[in-house]
Amino acid sequence: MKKILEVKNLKKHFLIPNPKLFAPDEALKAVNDVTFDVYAGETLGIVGESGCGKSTLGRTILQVLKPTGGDVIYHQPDVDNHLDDSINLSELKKKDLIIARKEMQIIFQDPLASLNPRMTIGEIIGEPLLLYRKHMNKKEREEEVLQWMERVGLLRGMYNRYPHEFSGGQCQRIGIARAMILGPKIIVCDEAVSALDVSIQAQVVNLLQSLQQKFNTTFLFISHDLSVVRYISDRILVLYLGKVMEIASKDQIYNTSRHPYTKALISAVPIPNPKLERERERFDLKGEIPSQIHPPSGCVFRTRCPYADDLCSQKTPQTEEVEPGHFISCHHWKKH
Amino acid sequence: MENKQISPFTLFLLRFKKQKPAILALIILLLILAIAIFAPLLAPYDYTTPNYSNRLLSPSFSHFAGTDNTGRDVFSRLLFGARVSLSIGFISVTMGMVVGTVLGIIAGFVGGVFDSIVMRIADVLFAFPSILLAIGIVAVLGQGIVNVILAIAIFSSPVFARIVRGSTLAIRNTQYIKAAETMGASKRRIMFIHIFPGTISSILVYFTMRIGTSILTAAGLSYLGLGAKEPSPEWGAMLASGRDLMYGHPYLTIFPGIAIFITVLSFNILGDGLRSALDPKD
Repeated sequence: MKKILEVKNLKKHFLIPNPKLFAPDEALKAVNDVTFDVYAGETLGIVGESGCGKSTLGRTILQVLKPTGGDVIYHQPDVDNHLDDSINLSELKKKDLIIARKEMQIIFQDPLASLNPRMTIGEIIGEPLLLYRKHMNKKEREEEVLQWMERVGLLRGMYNRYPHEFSGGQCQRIGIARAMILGPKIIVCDEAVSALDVSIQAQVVNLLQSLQQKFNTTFLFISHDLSVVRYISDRILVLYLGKVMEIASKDQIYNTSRHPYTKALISAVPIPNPKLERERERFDLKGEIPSQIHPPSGCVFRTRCPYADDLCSQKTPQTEEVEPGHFISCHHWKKH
Repeated sequence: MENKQISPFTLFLLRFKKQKPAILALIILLLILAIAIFAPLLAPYDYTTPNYSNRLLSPSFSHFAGTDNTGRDVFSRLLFGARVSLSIGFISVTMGMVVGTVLGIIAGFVGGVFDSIVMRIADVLFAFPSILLAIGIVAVLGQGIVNVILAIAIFSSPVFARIVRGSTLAIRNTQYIKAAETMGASKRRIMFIHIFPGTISSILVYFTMRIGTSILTAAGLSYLGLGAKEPSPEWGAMLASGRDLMYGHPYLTIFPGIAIFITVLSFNILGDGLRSALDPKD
């Protein structure tokens, strides 16, 4: 498969004012040296506990947040292979970035909050057209918006209504229509279904999947909900304290995961069968996430890892490819 | 889903309907506005031509509010005075609102040095009592209605700049503004298409209240002899000209005073009502 996005050593540090007088500000390393590839048309799930940098990673990739370091290289899928099709997003000037941005959109977590309460649904969904397809007249724009409203399962009669009249699921459909109307190549779904209740989650996830098939969009699906991620993703990236722990295909992650953190995450998902649930071997995490301002030395996970030893505190593990397409950063992946 | 469209505006109307005093105030103000517009048709006498045979008549059926010391009908002058006072109020506050709103949105959205400069200027203007500031400005610009309007506009603008900046700061951090930024909307578009509509409600409340205040200030300036001058029927100027005769002929000051009182009070009550109707918290 063709790569669409290469994220190389991406870093995003936030400066935290130091409470001590005259001491230099401290850096919160929300995304710390993250490297991975995204392939065209796939869904890459990004999972991790709250505060591990999932959303920051998504936003930094889209350059909504300016990266502290590293590159995000975007390969335009429509350009012929022998031409240089790559754009380094992190080097683009603000003006070029706005143009590149129509290829990359984001769907937000809180569906209602991400819609302007004073604009009608038609205006909200049509805004990207207003920004990027200036040649369209009002009528064409309206037609396009109505078409998209039908695609995401909204009624034509809702065109002139306001966001507060809609349910969470409907608002998320509006958000999806707005994100997809320009035909972007990449969509970051930032906890896109986490705020919805389970039955609506399923509908929205199915809608995303059917749109993905139809338009061959690439999804970066950020979520803390492992069941949803398992359902929608092709590959999964496990993030902990701003660092990649494991990247692998969905089956590898769920069946032959080698990283202790991934195992712990998966083991936290209950099994719907009470008998199996009682008998299975649990793999619990102890303690809290350490401070991101002063992360542990060596492997960031060592403070909570049952297999940690001296090596883990001395040396940061490198990301190794343990089988084709399966990357792990752990010193002891062979042991367990 | 029923096919009823509740726009924010309809919602506002429904809530405003419950504000009875504000509705009364609105009716009174519309009445005053009608009087101002149709003053030539309503006024029984000419408001400028002196008639020395009818000097200082007490209120009667032929002269509802009596006549002044040059024999002009006070009632007719009050009707025409509504034009002057309302125009001063509307024009000056509108000017202040436009300037203040634009500066406030930019200051709140852009932040940084621009924000600091605008807000410090606003602080300086706030530090003066408004009537003192107005006197100062008129003293610099010279006497006359136009300069009074300018003076009121200048000291109204920081009020708007401050409240608009406040709303802008609140709206700027919402998800939907972040969404618009991600979408690639320009700064200007975000400021004036996305943020501005959210600030309208607070602007509207202050706009209404400031009109009352500015009519009062204009009247005060005229009373002090810095604003409108004879023969202009501005209410404050009428108060001033009746001042010397207040003991013998109190109606010369009472009626313009009542006119100012009712108008300013109505604007304030209307502003209060608008605030309650627009405030989503109750």
